Amino acid sequence: MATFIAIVLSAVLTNNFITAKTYGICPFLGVSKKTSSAAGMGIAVTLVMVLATLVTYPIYTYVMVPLEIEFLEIIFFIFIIASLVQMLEKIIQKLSPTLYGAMGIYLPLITTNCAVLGVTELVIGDMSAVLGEASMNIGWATLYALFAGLGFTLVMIIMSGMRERINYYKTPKAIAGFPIAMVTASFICMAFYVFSLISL
Amino acid sequence: MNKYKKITLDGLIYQNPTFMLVLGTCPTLGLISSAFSAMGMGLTVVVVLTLSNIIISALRKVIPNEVRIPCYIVVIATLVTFARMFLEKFVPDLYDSLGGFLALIVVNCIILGRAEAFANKHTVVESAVDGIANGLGFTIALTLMGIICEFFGKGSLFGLQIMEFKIGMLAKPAGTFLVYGICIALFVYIVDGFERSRRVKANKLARENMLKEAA
Amino acid sequence: MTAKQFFKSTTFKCLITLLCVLLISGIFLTVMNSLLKVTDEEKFNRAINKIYGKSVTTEAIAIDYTAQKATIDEAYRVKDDGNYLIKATGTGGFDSGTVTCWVVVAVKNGAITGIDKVVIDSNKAQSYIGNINNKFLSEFSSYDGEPFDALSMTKTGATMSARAICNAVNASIDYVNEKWLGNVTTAGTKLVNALAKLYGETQISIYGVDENGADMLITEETETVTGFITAPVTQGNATVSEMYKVVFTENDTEVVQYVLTSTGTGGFEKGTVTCMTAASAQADGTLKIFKVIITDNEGQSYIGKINHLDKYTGAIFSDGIEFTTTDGYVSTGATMSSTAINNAVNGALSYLLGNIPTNDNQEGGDE
Repeated sequence: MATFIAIVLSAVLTNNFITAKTYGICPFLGVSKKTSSAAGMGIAVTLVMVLATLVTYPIYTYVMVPLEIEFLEIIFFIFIIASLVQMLEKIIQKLSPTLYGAMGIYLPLITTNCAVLGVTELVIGDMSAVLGEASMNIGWATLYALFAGLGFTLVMIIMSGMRERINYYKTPKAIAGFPIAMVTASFICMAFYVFSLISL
Repeated sequence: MNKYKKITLDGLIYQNPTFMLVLGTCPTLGLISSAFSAMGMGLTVVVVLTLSNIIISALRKVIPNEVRIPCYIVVIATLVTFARMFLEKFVPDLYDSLGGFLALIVVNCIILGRAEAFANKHTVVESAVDGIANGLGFTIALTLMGIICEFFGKGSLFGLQIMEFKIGMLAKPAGTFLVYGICIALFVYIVDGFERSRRVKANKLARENMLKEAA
Repeated sequence: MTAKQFFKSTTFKCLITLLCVLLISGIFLTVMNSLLKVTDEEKFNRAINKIYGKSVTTEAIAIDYTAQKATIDEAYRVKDDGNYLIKATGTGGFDSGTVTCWVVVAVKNGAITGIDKVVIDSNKAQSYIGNINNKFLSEFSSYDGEPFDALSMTKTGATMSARAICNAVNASIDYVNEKWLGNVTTAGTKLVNALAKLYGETQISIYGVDENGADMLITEETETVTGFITAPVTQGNATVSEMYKVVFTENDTEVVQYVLTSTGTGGFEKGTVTCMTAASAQADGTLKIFKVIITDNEGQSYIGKINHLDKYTGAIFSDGIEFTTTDGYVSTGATMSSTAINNAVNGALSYLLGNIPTNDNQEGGDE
């Protein structure tokens, strides 16, 4: 239970992918102009993160480590993620056209999202700071991916809300677009910094 | 020769990947808290980008259009894995300070972006120049912001302690976002101003020429 | 589709290209991996060299040592210069957390000459570890044989983490001293050193009790020390754990005092403060405090602000009297810790009041 809480707190708040690790910034800046699209992107990323971890973690632990081909991890992982995204796109298109309409356009962008590759690389690395005494296994890894994705979605939604408000006001040309978005993100990071003072 | 000058200027200034196109933001924001790691990341990207541009440009007639993206990804992933091995063996300090962002070069939009937008349409030499120019544009931007963030955030430069005064926030993601945003705004402002004055100058020249001809 | 058509189709071409690219990449990386692989041994050496600042060869040595406030995790002897490299985890940090650090213990001619370096490796729950600066860590280099005390070192803004680091360093010193240099610190030496903090340069004789219940002189050579209290006693809001008799001469008069160690509860975040109280019994049955010092604490982040201990000197204690924060026995900024100190002093003195040893024929010890 303590491990569960530690993972949730760390993934969502203290070590949030966007505000603490700065992973997945491209979609964070690119798809956060509207809350609906930010939420869609967030959920899509979460889904891919969970699936990718579910596939890559066992492959790494039970295939690549015994075969001593850990050095091929980047190629393997990026390939798995790319194929997963492709498959997911096709499946969603077949099963639920409505869902595809809401999420489909974000899926191709996810392959080159740091957050997905980032989480798969993170869970095979040293996670003792989060897990404490418990040792890493597929369950914790997936859980971490899920909550990291949810933390990502949370910040995406906060950001999109702020950007929607900013759109009501006229900003000087030089800071319109990316600069003002960065400054907004900076404030979110400052707010989230407070969470890093939590210790269990 | 003019062609190469244009490629270089585009990569360094007019289409600077960091300030103008805002690509490769994850490593930028994650690493500019220290000038050393920012510059290390930049130089690693220069090498990976140049090599990937050369390889992809050389293979552009061999690779079928349908599988070009997976092929590019494999090439880039191979180069990144190689870069990682090389750094771990010979520059362990940099390897440690880059951390997870080293593997994430694979999904750095700049590299795939240049492969897709430039290398598969141009010759090997042009692609190499483009790779170096874009990589250096990235490196210079990162180093610049790295110096700013480290100087004010940690009171040091490249790890060398200079002053006691520091604003700790600037070495945290909150500060790197802020510095990055301000730098983009300044850069765009300066380049816009530069462009305008160049256009004004060109117009003036053209007008004088016309007047001369008229006379 | 016939086989021939298939071999000419784009699908086949795509597959072949992709497979070729993958194969070439795989082969290239395998070759590179065998060339550039960093072995575990190399990684370890790198870590050591980074701490040490230069390349050295080391050998692992047995640990087999238990320290009170720290654990020794790893220990190495540096072959090049005979120094010891210890990885120790000190307890008593912020929020009951720990700090793990690497300690380079410099040894020359069988004696510890100093602490060359202290490098923080990791920590648990130390939110303010960032405040530990190089100035603090460099202060360990001046080692004079005394254990390090975080309170008398540079203020860092991370009092508790600093204490955990001191614990780790002290344990490393003791470990090297006792285990490898054979300089076992006797219980007597520890007591003499502890009391030196109370009495400074004054020549004192310390008495405990021997197995027959009679006074026994304790010197640095004494190996087993028994005080007047054998098992900790709860007294009010404090636990009194040790009591010794101290005799010294001042202005040609012999002064008898009792030194009690007591731990008072009610501190900051339900923590405790341990104090040493020296007091003498007066002819009228009251006690006169000679001095109070703090020896240890638990969870008292603001203990560094305690500055009112001088107030206790000369104060009179008898039945019905209690030192409280409202009487001025308090330091601004550390009210809770002050409460714990008052509890400790009150507990120690009320214990002493009821248990003044009378098995000797010396006088009451009034000045």
